[in-house]
Amino acid sequence: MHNGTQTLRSSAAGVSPSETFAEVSTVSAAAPLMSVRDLRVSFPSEDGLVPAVRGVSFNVLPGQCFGIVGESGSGKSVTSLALMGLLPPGPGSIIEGEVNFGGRDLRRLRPEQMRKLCGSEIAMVFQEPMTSLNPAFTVGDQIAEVVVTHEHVSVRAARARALELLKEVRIAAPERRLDEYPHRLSGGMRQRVMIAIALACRPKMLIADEPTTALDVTVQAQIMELLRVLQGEYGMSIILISHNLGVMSEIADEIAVMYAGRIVEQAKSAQLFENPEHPYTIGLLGAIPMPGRKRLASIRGRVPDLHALPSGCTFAPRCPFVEEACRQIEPTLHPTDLQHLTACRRAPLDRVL
Amino acid sequence: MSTPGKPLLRVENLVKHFNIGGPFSASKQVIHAVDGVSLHVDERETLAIVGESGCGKSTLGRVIMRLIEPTSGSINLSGEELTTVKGRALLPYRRKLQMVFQDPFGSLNPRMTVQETLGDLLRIHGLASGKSVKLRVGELLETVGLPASSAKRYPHEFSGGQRQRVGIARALAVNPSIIVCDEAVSALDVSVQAQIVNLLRDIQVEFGLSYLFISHDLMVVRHMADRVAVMYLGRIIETGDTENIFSRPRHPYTRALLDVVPIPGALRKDDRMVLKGDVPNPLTPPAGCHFNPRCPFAINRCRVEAPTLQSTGEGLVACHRWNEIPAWVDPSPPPKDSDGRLERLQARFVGNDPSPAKQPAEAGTTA
Repeated sequence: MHNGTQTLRSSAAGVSPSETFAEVSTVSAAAPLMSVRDLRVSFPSEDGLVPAVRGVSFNVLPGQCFGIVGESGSGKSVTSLALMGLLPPGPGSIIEGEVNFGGRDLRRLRPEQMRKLCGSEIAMVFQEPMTSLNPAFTVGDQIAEVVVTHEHVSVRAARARALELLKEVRIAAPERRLDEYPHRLSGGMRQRVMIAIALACRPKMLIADEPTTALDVTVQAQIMELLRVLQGEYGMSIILISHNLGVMSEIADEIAVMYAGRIVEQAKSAQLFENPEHPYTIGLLGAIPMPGRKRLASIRGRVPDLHALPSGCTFAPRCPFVEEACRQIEPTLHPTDLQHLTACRRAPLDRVL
Repeated sequence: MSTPGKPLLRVENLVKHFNIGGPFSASKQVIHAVDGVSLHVDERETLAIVGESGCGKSTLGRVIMRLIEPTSGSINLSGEELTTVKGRALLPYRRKLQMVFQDPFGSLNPRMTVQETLGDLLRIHGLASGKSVKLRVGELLETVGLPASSAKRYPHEFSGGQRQRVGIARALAVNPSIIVCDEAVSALDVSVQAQIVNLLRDIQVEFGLSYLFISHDLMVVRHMADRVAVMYLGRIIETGDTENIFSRPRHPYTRALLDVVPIPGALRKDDRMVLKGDVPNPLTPPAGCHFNPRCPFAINRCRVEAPTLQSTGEGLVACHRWNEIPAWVDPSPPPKDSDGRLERLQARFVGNDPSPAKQPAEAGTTA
């Protein structure tokens, strides 16, 4: 009988056919600030529809930093743009799913309602601060513009607030910087200005898409430190999108790993780094040069073409733990441990060791 | 990492100044991009040049390649002075000294197939002719883990990682003794980067290559290099064996770099040193030690007198106070995999590399 239950349990964990999304999301007491349900994005191309995001669901709790990590083409940036409604509604593109934020479905808001929300309650910081800042206006004007738009205060008051914000993001000599143009600032300072603009209306949520990718390590450390401190001061939630697992581990409380348009693993940060379950996460962590590591793990082959995704698990062709059944059915995200979700039918992998 | 051999490349007091401001500008300014750099690379050894943007590491690589003319100083390759050689006479040295760039797309002609690019190269250097060209190209591609049939393809038909493999094949084509890798793996995704790092180490052993490995990525440098030189504003400020630099960094700047490298899964400690400000404008570098405005240990002497490289017994460091400041403590030791579970799981991914079918003897010894 003991044997019987074990087999039953392991097969149930392996196949997990019909979890609803509510069950799939990690258990927690607090009501989520943002809750994404079955987000799907497809773009038209010469070879038909390209499914860039294929059913992504997650919750972000108030004050939590939720990290989305993945390599190029995993769909992490498309996900973040879709959340903010920033994807161009070009002919043939399909965006489906729900993005619940404070009781409203962002996907159903009218453009002017969305514009009101963006900047005041949700703000975004991008990788390239230079392309997000207008080169023809001073830093002070650009920060003040946001304040005037959302808080309907006088220009003078907005300017005072801009100065205050530059101080908050710890820019040296803020009085002088207020009247400077973006090209006069270093990359790190521009990113601070972007953060100042994002924080202008004390948003509940900040979406940071590769915020430090173009920066040197010493400046990267400054920006991550700043985000961490500000998160504490403001109590805001952060969605951090990055390809860099090191940056992730600096501030993320919970991390989702994306591969070929889906979340393949999601867990608390420490759990993900110490006890990853999905073979892709395991390979990815092994591919990072670490002290004492002799040879880097090499995930054979390359990221699948989104036009022609392999049948079954999209990672199966590259997976050293693959078995025949993996190539038949695409596994869904299911709990493999407390607050740990994995989309692998062979998880927990300790069985195969 | 293999046992180093005889000295191969020796650079002495290399200087490269760029004049800023054209003939019509009122004030002429000079950027000291490379400001008196001396280094050596031995046979089968990897020397890494590490630093942040604007430190002069890429300029250094290009000056050594003679892609940029040095202002002064000496570049010596196996006993021959390179700075005085000009024009076609450089060709034999170009064979010995090759380069792999960050963006391989920029170094491959988009209108030529890989066969044409590599074939021309072999013919120009007189390394193959007639039918043997095609054979050799196929062989080179297989060495870097690409099928010989990919010779027919154009650069745009390859992914970033494959293109970098072609870039490496291009460098290997002329049987170099040293390859300058300028941020060769920096633009790649982690999993692709691991494949290229493994490939670079494999071919190093196979062909007895030396690398001058220029990178801003300290983790990759630690993995690849036998020795490390840290650059700041055109000067080498610390150099030594990789293990010593990473376990006992002496220069405050090196320490600051190691403090902030994000290590996945490591516990972030709060007593790390996060430098204030940015790298200063190279047009107006600070007086004395270039690092003094950002250095928490700076004293008056540092603001006046530029430190020279001095021996610490383990390496060289350009700091007046290296033996006075408290010993460095690693603020975030890497995560422990106590039961070895992760390592055992990761072992399944090791040795997956599209291994270059062991090269026949001729390929390795045509030099």
